[in-house]
Amino acid sequence: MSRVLLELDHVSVSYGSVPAVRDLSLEVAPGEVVGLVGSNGAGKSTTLAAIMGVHRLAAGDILFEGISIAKEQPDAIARRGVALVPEGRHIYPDFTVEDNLRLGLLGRSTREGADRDLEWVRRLFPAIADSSTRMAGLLSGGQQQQLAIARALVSDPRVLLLDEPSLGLAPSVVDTLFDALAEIRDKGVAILLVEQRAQLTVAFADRTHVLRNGDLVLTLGPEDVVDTERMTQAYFG
Amino acid sequence: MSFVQLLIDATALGALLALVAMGIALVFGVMRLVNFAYGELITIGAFTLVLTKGWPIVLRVLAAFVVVIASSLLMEVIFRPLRRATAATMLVATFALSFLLQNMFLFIFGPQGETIEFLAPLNRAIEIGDLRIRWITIIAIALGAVLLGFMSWLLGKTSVGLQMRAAAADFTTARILGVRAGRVIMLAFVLSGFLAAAVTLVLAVQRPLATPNYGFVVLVPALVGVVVGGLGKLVPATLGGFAIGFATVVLGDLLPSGSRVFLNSVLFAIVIIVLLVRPDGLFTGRTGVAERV
Repeated sequence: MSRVLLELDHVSVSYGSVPAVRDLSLEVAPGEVVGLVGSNGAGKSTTLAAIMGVHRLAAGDILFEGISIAKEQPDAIARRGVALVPEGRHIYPDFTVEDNLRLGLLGRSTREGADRDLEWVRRLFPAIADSSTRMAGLLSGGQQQQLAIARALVSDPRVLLLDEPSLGLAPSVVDTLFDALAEIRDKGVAILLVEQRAQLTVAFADRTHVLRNGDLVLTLGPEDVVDTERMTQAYFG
Repeated sequence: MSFVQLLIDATALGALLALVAMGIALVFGVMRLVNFAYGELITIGAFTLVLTKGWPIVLRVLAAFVVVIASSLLMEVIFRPLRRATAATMLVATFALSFLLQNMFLFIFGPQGETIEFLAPLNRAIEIGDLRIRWITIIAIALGAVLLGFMSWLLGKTSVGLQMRAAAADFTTARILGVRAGRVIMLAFVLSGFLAAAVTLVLAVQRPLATPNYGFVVLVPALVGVVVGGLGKLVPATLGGFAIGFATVVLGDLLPSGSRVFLNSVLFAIVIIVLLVRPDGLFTGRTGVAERV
Protein backbone atom coordinates (compact mmCIF):
# COMPACT_ATOMS: atom_id res chain seq x y z
CA MET A 1 0.00 0.00 0.00
CA SER A 2 1.21 3.43 -0.88
CA ARG A 3 2.03 5.58 2.11
CA VAL A 4 -0.01 8.44 0.68
CA LEU A 5 -3.76 7.73 0.66
CA LEU A 6 -4.99 10.74 -1.27
CA GLU A 7 -2.92 12.72 -3.71
CA LEU A 8 -3.82 15.76 -5.79
CA ASP A 9 -1.37 16.08 -8.65
CA HIS A 10 -1.30 19.53 -10.30
CA VAL A 11 -5.09 19.78 -10.20
CA SER A 12 -6.92 22.60 -11.98
CA VAL A 13 -10.69 23.12 -11.93
CA SER A 14 -12.61 25.75 -13.90
CA TYR A 15 -16.18 27.02 -13.96
CA GLY A 16 -16.56 27.62 -17.68
CA SER A 17 -13.61 29.81 -18.56
CA VAL A 18 -13.12 30.99 -14.97
CA PRO A 19 -10.38 29.08 -13.15
CA ALA A 20 -11.38 28.14 -9.58
CA VAL A 21 -8.35 26.03 -8.61
CA ARG A 22 -4.97 26.23 -10.33
CA ASP A 23 -2.21 23.65 -10.37
CA LEU A 24 -2.91 22.42 -6.84
CA SER A 25 -0.82 19.56 -5.48
CA LEU A 26 -1.23 18.11 -2.01
CA GLU A 27 -1.07 14.78 -0.20
CA VAL A 28 -2.84 13.24 2.77
CA ALA A 29 -1.55 10.10 4.45
CA PRO A 30 -3.50 7.76 6.78
CA GLY A 31 -3.76 9.24 10.27
CA GLU A 32 -2.94 12.69 9.00
CA VAL A 33 -4.95 15.91 9.10
CA VAL A 34 -4.35 18.40 6.32
CA GLY A 35 -5.99 21.82 6.59
CA LEU A 36 -7.17 23.98 3.74
CA VAL A 37 -7.85 27.60 4.59
CA GLY A 38 -8.42 30.79 2.68
CA SER A 39 -10.96 33.52 2.16
CA ASN A 40 -14.27 33.02 0.34
CA GLY A 41 -13.78 32.07 -3.30
CA ALA A 42 -10.25 30.79 -2.72
CA GLY A 43 -11.19 27.39 -4.17
CA LYS A 44 -11.43 25.29 -0.99
CA SER A 45 -14.92 23.86 -1.50
CA THR A 46 -14.24 23.38 -5.21
CA THR A 47 -11.20 21.28 -4.31
CA LEU A 48 -13.27 19.00 -2.08
CA ALA A 49 -16.03 18.72 -4.70
CA ALA A 50 -13.42 17.83 -7.33
CA ILE A 51 -11.99 15.06 -5.13
CA MET A 52 -15.52 13.71 -4.69
CA GLY A 53 -16.04 13.65 -8.47
CA VAL A 54 -18.72 16.35 -8.48
CA HIS A 55 -16.54 18.70 -10.56
CA ARG A 56 -14.47 17.46 -13.46
CA LEU A 57 -10.79 18.44 -13.63
CA ALA A 58 -9.52 20.86 -16.26
CA ALA A 59 -6.02 19.46 -15.71
CA GLY A 60 -4.08 17.23 -13.35
CA ASP A 61 -5.03 14.02 -11.59
CA ILE A 62 -6.43 12.79 -8.28
CA LEU A 63 -5.09 9.52 -6.91
CA PHE A 64 -6.57 7.31 -4.20
CA GLU A 65 -4.11 4.65 -3.07
CA GLY A 66 -2.15 5.42 -6.22
CA ILE A 67 -5.13 4.81 -8.52
CA SER A 68 -6.62 7.68 -10.52
CA ILE A 69 -10.18 8.50 -9.43
CA ALA A 70 -10.41 11.72 -11.46
CA LYS A 71 -12.85 10.23 -13.96
CA GLU A 72 -14.91 8.22 -11.49
CA GLN A 73 -18.48 9.02 -10.50
CA PRO A 74 -19.18 10.41 -6.99
CA ASP A 75 -20.95 7.24 -5.83
CA ALA A 76 -18.01 5.07 -6.86
CA ILE A 77 -15.61 7.41 -5.04
CA ALA A 78 -17.84 7.28 -1.94
CA ARG A 79 -17.77 3.50 -1.96
CA ARG A 80 -13.97 3.54 -2.18
CA GLY A 81 -14.08 5.10 1.27
CA VAL A 82 -14.06 8.84 0.65
CA ALA A 83 -16.72 10.73 2.65
CA LEU A 84 -17.61 14.39 2.34
CA VAL A 85 -19.37 16.59 4.87
CA PRO A 86 -20.53 19.19 2.38
CA GLU A 87 -20.78 22.90 2.92
CA GLY A 88 -24.34 23.81 3.89
CA ARG A 89 -24.86 20.37 5.48
CA HIS A 90 -27.11 18.90 2.76
CA ILE A 91 -28.98 16.68 5.13
CA TYR A 92 -32.44 15.47 4.06
CA PRO A 93 -34.84 17.74 5.98
CA ASP A 94 -37.95 15.68 5.15
CA PHE A 95 -36.35 12.41 6.28
CA THR A 96 -36.03 11.24 9.87
CA VAL A 97 -32.69 11.59 11.62
CA GLU A 98 -32.43 7.80 11.56
CA ASP A 99 -32.95 7.64 7.78
CA ASN A 100 -30.31 10.33 7.28
CA LEU A 101 -27.87 8.21 9.28
CA ARG A 102 -28.85 5.07 7.36
CA LEU A 103 -27.92 6.85 4.13
CA GLY A 104 -24.44 7.26 5.54
CA LEU A 105 -24.12 3.48 5.78
CA LEU A 106 -24.29 3.19 1.97
CA GLY A 107 -20.67 4.24 1.61
CA ARG A 108 -19.43 1.34 3.75
CA SER A 109 -17.61 -1.49 2.08
CA THR A 110 -19.04 -3.90 4.65
CA ARG A 111 -21.97 -3.88 7.08
CA GLU A 112 -19.67 -5.34 9.69
CA GLY A 113 -19.15 -2.85 12.48
CA ALA A 114 -22.03 -0.64 11.29
CA ASP A 115 -23.95 -0.96 14.57
CA ARG A 116 -20.81 -0.18 16.54
CA ASP A 117 -20.21 2.97 14.47
CA LEU A 118 -23.84 4.04 14.83
CA GLU A 119 -23.49 3.67 18.60
CA TRP A 120 -20.25 5.63 18.48
CA VAL A 121 -21.72 8.66 16.66
CA ARG A 122 -24.74 8.63 18.93
CA ARG A 123 -22.40 8.79 21.91
CA LEU A 124 -20.41 11.53 20.19
CA PHE A 125 -23.46 13.64 19.43
CA PRO A 126 -26.12 12.83 22.04
CA ALA A 127 -28.42 15.54 20.64
CA ILE A 128 -29.04 13.55 17.48
CA ALA A 129 -29.33 10.27 19.36
CA ASP A 130 -32.27 11.72 21.25
CA SER A 131 -34.05 12.76 18.04
CA SER A 132 -33.79 9.66 15.87
CA THR A 133 -37.47 9.62 14.87
CA ARG A 134 -37.76 13.38 14.33
CA MET A 135 -37.63 14.99 10.90
CA ALA A 136 -34.08 16.20 10.37
CA GLY A 137 -35.35 19.59 9.19
CA LEU A 138 -36.75 20.22 12.67
CA LEU A 139 -33.31 20.00 14.31
CA SER A 140 -31.47 23.21 15.16
CA GLY A 141 -28.76 24.38 12.76
CA GLY A 142 -26.02 23.05 15.02
CA GLN A 143 -27.74 19.68 15.39
CA GLN A 144 -28.15 19.43 11.61
CA GLN A 145 -24.43 20.02 11.25
CA GLN A 146 -23.74 17.27 13.78
CA LEU A 147 -26.03 14.98 11.80
CA ALA A 148 -24.13 15.73 8.57
CA ILE A 149 -20.85 14.87 10.29
CA ALA A 150 -22.31 11.76 11.93
CA ARG A 151 -23.63 10.61 8.55
CA ALA A 152 -20.13 10.84 7.09
CA LEU A 153 -18.59 9.05 10.07
CA VAL A 154 -20.88 6.01 9.89
CA SER A 155 -19.70 5.44 6.33
CA ASP A 156 -16.45 4.22 7.92
CA PRO A 157 -14.37 6.50 5.69
CA ARG A 158 -10.69 6.09 4.92
CA VAL A 159 -10.53 9.68 3.74
CA LEU A 160 -12.79 12.24 5.38
CA LEU A 161 -13.36 15.56 3.63
CA LEU A 162 -14.91 18.23 5.82
CA ASP A 163 -16.18 21.52 4.44
CA GLU A 164 -16.43 24.02 7.28
CA PRO A 165 -17.73 21.52 9.84
CA SER A 166 -17.68 24.01 12.72
CA LEU A 167 -19.96 26.48 10.94
CA GLY A 168 -22.98 27.23 13.11
CA LEU A 169 -21.84 25.08 16.03
CA ALA A 170 -21.75 26.27 19.62
CA PRO A 171 -18.19 26.51 21.01
CA SER A 172 -18.68 23.49 23.27
CA VAL A 173 -19.83 21.42 20.29
CA VAL A 174 -16.84 22.63 18.27
CA ASP A 175 -14.61 21.21 21.02
CA THR A 176 -16.52 17.92 20.85
CA LEU A 177 -16.13 17.93 17.08
CA PHE A 178 -12.38 18.42 17.16
CA ASP A 179 -12.04 15.75 19.88
CA ALA A 180 -13.97 13.45 17.56
CA LEU A 181 -11.74 14.36 14.61
CA ALA A 182 -8.69 13.54 16.71
CA GLU A 183 -10.23 10.17 17.55
CA ILE A 184 -10.93 9.52 13.85
CA ARG A 185 -7.40 10.57 12.89
CA ASP A 186 -5.98 8.21 15.49
CA LYS A 187 -7.95 5.37 13.89
CA GLY A 188 -5.85 5.96 10.77
CA VAL A 189 -8.33 7.97 8.74
CA ALA A 190 -6.88 10.66 6.46
CA ILE A 191 -8.64 14.00 7.02
CA LEU A 192 -8.77 16.98 4.68
CA LEU A 193 -10.28 19.85 6.62
CA VAL A 194 -11.60 23.07 5.08
CA GLU A 195 -12.21 25.68 7.75
CA GLN A 196 -12.79 29.36 8.26
CA ARG A 197 -11.26 29.14 11.74
CA ALA A 198 -7.72 29.33 10.43
CA GLN A 199 -5.87 29.37 13.73
CA LEU A 200 -7.77 26.41 15.10
CA THR A 201 -7.03 24.52 11.89
CA VAL A 202 -3.32 25.38 11.81
CA ALA A 203 -2.97 24.23 15.41
CA PHE A 204 -4.86 21.00 14.81
CA ALA A 205 -3.60 19.91 11.38
CA ASP A 206 -0.26 18.34 10.49
CA ARG A 207 -0.04 20.79 7.57
CA THR A 208 -2.31 23.62 6.52
CA HIS A 209 -2.34 24.97 2.99
CA VAL A 210 -3.48 28.53 2.42
CA LEU A 211 -5.35 29.06 -0.86
CA ARG A 212 -5.85 32.45 -2.50
CA ASN A 213 -7.77 32.88 -5.76
CA GLY A 214 -7.28 29.21 -6.58
CA ASP A 215 -3.52 29.18 -5.93
CA LEU A 216 -1.71 27.48 -3.07
CA VAL A 217 0.27 30.37 -1.62
CA LEU A 218 1.58 29.05 1.69
CA THR A 219 1.89 25.89 3.75
CA LEU A 220 1.96 26.15 7.53
CA GLY A 221 2.74 23.70 10.31
CA PRO A 222 1.33 23.67 13.85
CA GLU A 223 4.42 25.60 14.98
CA ASP A 224 3.28 28.55 12.83
CA VAL A 225 0.09 29.07 14.81
CA VAL A 226 1.62 32.01 16.65
CA ASP A 227 2.72 33.68 13.41
CA THR A 228 -0.59 35.41 12.67
CA GLU A 229 1.07 38.10 10.57
CA ARG A 230 2.37 35.56 8.07
CA MET A 231 -1.04 33.95 7.82
CA THR A 232 -2.83 37.28 7.35
CA GLN A 233 -0.31 38.15 4.66
CA ALA A 234 -1.02 34.89 2.85
CA TYR A 235 -4.80 35.33 3.16
CA PHE A 236 -5.00 38.80 1.74
CA GLY A 237 -1.80 39.15 -0.27
CA MET B 1 -76.44 9.05 -9.30
CA SER B 2 -76.39 8.28 -5.61
CA PHE B 3 -73.67 9.78 -3.47
CA VAL B 4 -72.07 6.43 -2.65
CA GLN B 5 -72.13 5.40 -6.30
CA LEU B 6 -70.44 8.69 -7.19
CA LEU B 7 -67.84 8.17 -4.47
CA ILE B 8 -66.99 4.68 -5.72
CA ASP B 9 -66.69 5.70 -9.38
CA ALA B 10 -64.64 8.76 -8.48
CA THR B 11 -62.30 6.69 -6.30
CA ALA B 12 -61.80 4.18 -9.12
CA LEU B 13 -60.68 6.80 -11.65
CA GLY B 14 -58.69 8.55 -8.91
CA ALA B 15 -56.83 5.33 -8.09
CA LEU B 16 -56.00 4.75 -11.76
CA LEU B 17 -54.68 8.28 -12.32
CA ALA B 18 -52.79 8.09 -9.01
CA LEU B 19 -50.88 5.09 -10.39
CA VAL B 20 -50.09 6.95 -13.62
CA ALA B 21 -49.07 10.04 -11.63
CA MET B 22 -46.76 7.95 -9.47
CA GLY B 23 -45.19 6.40 -12.55
CA ILE B 24 -44.44 9.88 -13.88
CA ALA B 25 -43.25 11.19 -10.51
CA LEU B 26 -40.89 8.25 -9.90
CA VAL B 27 -38.89 9.06 -13.03
CA PHE B 28 -39.13 12.80 -12.54
CA GLY B 29 -37.78 12.37 -9.02
CA VAL B 30 -34.51 10.76 -10.02
CA MET B 31 -33.94 12.42 -13.41
CA ARG B 32 -35.91 15.71 -13.29
CA LEU B 33 -37.44 14.41 -16.49
CA VAL B 34 -41.15 14.82 -17.27
CA ASN B 35 -41.66 11.86 -19.54
CA PHE B 36 -44.38 12.81 -22.02
CA ALA B 37 -43.88 9.44 -23.67
CA TYR B 38 -45.12 7.68 -20.51
CA GLY B 39 -48.61 7.42 -22.00
CA GLU B 40 -47.14 5.48 -24.92
CA LEU B 41 -46.05 2.76 -22.48
CA ILE B 42 -49.74 2.25 -21.74
CA THR B 43 -50.49 2.22 -25.49
CA ILE B 44 -47.71 -0.33 -26.03
CA GLY B 45 -49.32 -2.45 -23.31
CA ALA B 46 -52.71 -2.16 -25.02
CA PHE B 47 -51.34 -3.19 -28.41
CA THR B 48 -49.46 -6.06 -26.76
CA LEU B 49 -52.84 -7.31 -25.55
CA VAL B 50 -54.20 -6.81 -29.08
CA LEU B 51 -51.39 -8.84 -30.60
CA THR B 52 -51.76 -11.64 -28.05
CA LYS B 53 -55.49 -12.17 -28.62
CA GLY B 54 -56.24 -15.83 -28.34
CA TRP B 55 -53.46 -16.51 -25.84
CA PRO B 56 -54.33 -17.68 -22.33
CA ILE B 57 -55.10 -14.69 -20.06
CA VAL B 58 -52.13 -15.32 -17.77
CA LEU B 59 -49.74 -15.25 -20.71
CA ARG B 60 -51.33 -12.06 -22.08
CA VAL B 61 -50.94 -10.36 -18.70
CA LEU B 62 -47.36 -11.57 -18.45
CA ALA B 63 -46.62 -10.41 -22.01
CA ALA B 64 -48.04 -6.95 -21.23
CA PHE B 65 -45.83 -6.61 -18.14
CA VAL B 66 -42.70 -7.85 -19.91
CA VAL B 67 -43.16 -5.69 -23.02
CA VAL B 68 -44.11 -2.52 -21.11
CA ILE B 69 -41.27 -2.81 -18.58
CA ALA B 70 -38.80 -3.58 -21.38
CA SER B 71 -40.07 -0.53 -23.30
CA SER B 72 -39.68 1.61 -20.19
CA LEU B 73 -36.08 0.41 -19.83
CA LEU B 74 -35.50 1.15 -23.51
CA MET B 75 -36.72 4.70 -22.87
CA GLU B 76 -34.14 4.96 -20.07
CA VAL B 77 -31.44 4.00 -22.57
CA ILE B 78 -32.76 6.55 -25.08
CA PHE B 79 -32.83 9.34 -22.49
CA ARG B 80 -29.45 8.39 -20.97
CA PRO B 81 -27.38 10.77 -23.13
CA LEU B 82 -29.67 13.58 -21.93
CA ARG B 83 -28.99 13.17 -18.20
CA ARG B 84 -26.90 16.32 -18.13
CA ALA B 85 -29.10 18.20 -20.61
CA THR B 86 -31.35 21.10 -19.60
CA ALA B 87 -34.93 20.44 -18.51
CA ALA B 88 -36.22 22.03 -21.73
CA THR B 89 -34.10 19.74 -23.91
CA MET B 90 -35.31 16.66 -22.05
CA LEU B 91 -38.92 17.80 -22.28
CA VAL B 92 -38.72 18.32 -26.03
CA ALA B 93 -37.00 14.95 -26.41
CA THR B 94 -39.81 13.13 -24.56
CA PHE B 95 -42.39 15.04 -26.64
CA ALA B 96 -40.60 13.93 -29.78
CA LEU B 97 -40.53 10.31 -28.64
CA SER B 98 -44.21 10.46 -27.72
CA PHE B 99 -45.25 11.75 -31.16
CA LEU B 100 -42.90 9.39 -32.95
CA LEU B 101 -44.46 6.42 -31.15
CA GLN B 102 -48.04 7.66 -31.68
CA ASN B 103 -47.39 7.98 -35.40
CA MET B 104 -45.78 4.57 -35.51
CA PHE B 105 -48.92 3.11 -33.93
CA LEU B 106 -50.97 5.06 -36.47
CA PHE B 107 -48.90 3.63 -39.29
CA ILE B 108 -49.04 0.05 -38.02
CA PHE B 109 -52.55 -0.21 -36.58
CA GLY B 110 -54.40 2.58 -38.45
CA PRO B 111 -56.44 5.46 -37.06
CA GLN B 112 -59.43 3.27 -36.09
CA GLY B 113 -57.33 1.17 -33.76
CA GLU B 114 -57.99 -2.43 -32.81
CA THR B 115 -60.28 -4.08 -30.29
CA ILE B 116 -58.42 -5.47 -27.29
CA GLU B 117 -60.91 -8.18 -26.20
CA PHE B 118 -59.51 -8.55 -22.71
CA LEU B 119 -61.62 -9.81 -19.79
CA ALA B 120 -64.75 -8.04 -21.06
CA PRO B 121 -67.04 -9.85 -18.54
CA LEU B 122 -65.46 -7.76 -15.79
CA ASN B 123 -67.58 -4.87 -17.10
CA ARG B 124 -70.65 -6.62 -15.70
CA ALA B 125 -72.06 -4.92 -12.65
CA ILE B 126 -73.09 -6.28 -9.32
CA GLU B 127 -76.13 -4.65 -7.78
CA ILE B 128 -76.30 -3.85 -4.09
CA GLY B 129 -79.52 -1.97 -3.40
CA ASP B 130 -79.58 0.86 -5.89
CA LEU B 131 -75.79 0.67 -6.35
CA ARG B 132 -74.44 -0.73 -9.62
CA ILE B 133 -70.76 -1.46 -9.32
CA ARG B 134 -68.78 -2.96 -12.18
CA TRP B 135 -66.27 -5.63 -11.23
CA ILE B 136 -63.51 -3.70 -12.95
CA THR B 137 -64.30 -0.69 -10.74
CA ILE B 138 -63.73 -2.81 -7.66
CA ILE B 139 -60.56 -4.24 -9.22
CA ALA B 140 -59.29 -0.74 -10.09
CA ILE B 141 -59.74 0.44 -6.51
CA ALA B 142 -58.23 -2.73 -5.05
CA LEU B 143 -55.30 -2.70 -7.46
CA GLY B 144 -54.69 0.98 -6.74
CA ALA B 145 -54.72 0.35 -3.00
CA VAL B 146 -52.44 -2.69 -3.24
CA LEU B 147 -49.92 -1.07 -5.59
CA LEU B 148 -49.83 2.23 -3.73
CA GLY B 149 -49.41 0.26 -0.49
CA PHE B 150 -46.60 -1.78 -2.04
CA MET B 151 -44.86 1.34 -3.36
CA SER B 152 -45.18 3.06 -0.02
CA TRP B 153 -43.64 0.01 1.70
CA LEU B 154 -40.85 -0.19 -0.90
CA LEU B 155 -40.00 3.49 -0.67
CA GLY B 156 -40.52 3.89 3.05
CA LYS B 157 -39.17 0.70 4.57
CA THR B 158 -36.46 -0.68 2.33
CA SER B 159 -32.89 0.43 1.74
CA VAL B 160 -33.42 0.69 -2.01
CA GLY B 161 -36.51 2.84 -1.35
CA LEU B 162 -34.52 5.11 0.94
CA GLN B 163 -31.94 5.47 -1.82
CA MET B 164 -34.63 6.34 -4.35
CA ARG B 165 -36.18 8.92 -2.06
CA ALA B 166 -32.76 10.40 -1.36
CA ALA B 167 -31.95 10.57 -5.08
CA ALA B 168 -35.31 12.21 -5.73
CA ALA B 169 -34.87 14.80 -2.99
CA ASP B 170 -31.22 15.72 -3.63
CA PHE B 171 -29.51 13.78 -6.39
CA THR B 172 -25.99 15.17 -5.97
CA THR B 173 -25.88 14.53 -2.22
CA ALA B 174 -27.27 11.03 -2.74
CA ARG B 175 -24.41 10.23 -5.11
CA ILE B 176 -21.86 11.67 -2.69
CA LEU B 177 -23.24 9.27 -0.08
CA GLY B 178 -22.73 6.30 -2.38
CA VAL B 179 -26.17 5.89 -3.98
CA ARG B 180 -25.56 4.20 -7.35
CA ALA B 181 -27.16 6.73 -9.69
CA GLY B 182 -27.45 4.45 -12.71
CA ARG B 183 -29.05 1.66 -10.72
CA VAL B 184 -31.56 3.97 -9.01
CA ILE B 185 -32.59 5.56 -12.31
CA MET B 186 -33.00 2.13 -13.90
CA LEU B 187 -35.11 0.95 -10.98
CA ALA B 188 -37.31 4.04 -11.30
CA PHE B 189 -37.95 3.17 -14.96
CA VAL B 190 -38.70 -0.48 -14.08
CA LEU B 191 -41.17 0.53 -11.38
CA SER B 192 -42.82 3.16 -13.55
CA GLY B 193 -43.09 0.59 -16.35
CA PHE B 194 -44.62 -1.86 -13.88
CA LEU B 195 -47.24 0.73 -12.90
CA ALA B 196 -47.96 1.54 -16.57
CA ALA B 197 -48.54 -2.16 -17.27
CA ALA B 198 -50.90 -2.46 -14.30
CA VAL B 199 -52.85 0.60 -15.49
CA THR B 200 -53.03 -0.88 -18.99
CA LEU B 201 -54.73 -4.03 -17.72
CA VAL B 202 -57.51 -2.06 -16.00
CA LEU B 203 -57.93 0.35 -18.92
CA ALA B 204 -58.05 -2.53 -21.40
CA VAL B 205 -61.21 -3.78 -19.70
CA GLN B 206 -62.79 -0.33 -19.32
CA ARG B 207 -61.85 1.03 -22.76
CA PRO B 208 -61.57 -1.96 -25.08
CA LEU B 209 -60.50 -0.11 -28.23
CA ALA B 210 -56.72 0.43 -28.56
CA THR B 211 -56.01 3.57 -30.58
CA PRO B 212 -52.71 5.35 -31.33
CA ASN B 213 -53.38 7.93 -28.59
CA TYR B 214 -54.77 5.38 -26.11
CA GLY B 215 -52.29 6.17 -23.33
CA PHE B 216 -51.78 9.82 -24.21
CA VAL B 217 -55.36 10.71 -23.24
CA VAL B 218 -54.72 9.21 -19.79
CA LEU B 219 -51.31 10.82 -19.47
CA VAL B 220 -52.57 14.38 -19.87
CA PRO B 221 -54.94 14.46 -16.85
CA ALA B 222 -52.43 12.48 -14.75
CA LEU B 223 -49.69 14.95 -15.64
CA VAL B 224 -51.95 17.82 -14.67
CA GLY B 225 -52.54 15.98 -11.39
CA VAL B 226 -48.79 15.64 -10.82
CA VAL B 227 -48.33 19.38 -11.30
CA VAL B 228 -51.34 20.25 -9.15
CA GLY B 229 -50.22 17.89 -6.39
CA GLY B 230 -46.60 18.99 -6.44
CA LEU B 231 -44.02 18.01 -9.00
CA GLY B 232 -40.90 16.51 -7.54
CA LYS B 233 -42.38 14.84 -4.48
CA LEU B 234 -43.85 11.38 -4.78
CA VAL B 235 -46.71 11.48 -2.33
CA PRO B 236 -48.06 14.92 -3.31
CA ALA B 237 -47.78 14.04 -7.01
CA THR B 238 -49.65 10.77 -6.47
CA LEU B 239 -52.34 12.53 -4.43
CA GLY B 240 -52.61 15.08 -7.24
CA GLY B 241 -53.28 12.29 -9.73
CA PHE B 242 -55.93 10.89 -7.43
CA ALA B 243 -57.52 14.34 -6.96
CA ILE B 244 -57.79 14.94 -10.71
CA GLY B 245 -59.40 11.57 -11.32
CA PHE B 246 -61.77 12.03 -8.42
CA ALA B 247 -62.66 15.61 -9.44
CA THR B 248 -63.29 14.57 -13.04
CA VAL B 249 -66.00 12.10 -12.05
CA VAL B 250 -67.55 14.39 -9.44
CA LEU B 251 -67.63 17.37 -11.81
CA GLY B 252 -69.06 15.18 -14.56
CA ASP B 253 -71.92 14.35 -12.22
CA LEU B 254 -72.45 17.89 -10.95
CA LEU B 255 -72.54 19.53 -14.36
CA PRO B 256 -75.95 19.56 -16.06
CA SER B 257 -76.06 16.95 -18.81
CA GLY B 258 -76.03 19.59 -21.56
CA SER B 259 -72.87 21.14 -20.12
CA ARG B 260 -70.76 17.96 -19.86
CA VAL B 261 -68.77 19.04 -22.91
CA PHE B 262 -67.36 21.81 -20.71
CA LEU B 263 -66.05 19.29 -18.17
CA ASN B 264 -62.42 19.78 -19.17
CA SER B 265 -62.83 23.57 -19.31
CA VAL B 266 -64.19 23.65 -15.76
CA LEU B 267 -61.54 21.19 -14.55
CA PHE B 268 -58.67 23.17 -16.04
CA ALA B 269 -60.12 26.44 -14.73
CA ILE B 270 -59.96 24.90 -11.25
CA VAL B 271 -56.39 23.72 -11.94
CA ILE B 272 -55.37 27.26 -12.96
CA ILE B 273 -56.89 28.71 -9.80
CA VAL B 274 -55.17 26.06 -7.65
CA LEU B 275 -51.81 26.79 -9.24
CA LEU B 276 -52.27 30.53 -8.82
CA VAL B 277 -52.99 30.07 -5.13
CA ARG B 278 -50.53 27.22 -4.49
CA PRO B 279 -47.82 27.34 -7.19
CA ASP B 280 -45.76 24.63 -5.42
CA GLY B 281 -48.66 22.23 -5.51
CA LEU B 282 -51.72 21.44 -3.48
CA PHE B 283 -50.25 18.77 -1.22
CA THR B 284 -46.69 19.97 -0.63
CA GLY B 285 -47.38 21.74 2.68
CA ARG B 286 -47.14 25.49 2.78
CA THR B 287 -44.64 25.82 5.59
CA GLY B 288 -42.38 22.93 4.72
CA VAL B 289 -39.24 22.93 6.79
CA ALA B 290 -37.59 26.27 7.27
CA GLU B 291 -33.94 26.67 6.48
CA ARG B 292 -32.00 26.59 9.73
CA VAL B 293 -29.00 28.74 10.44
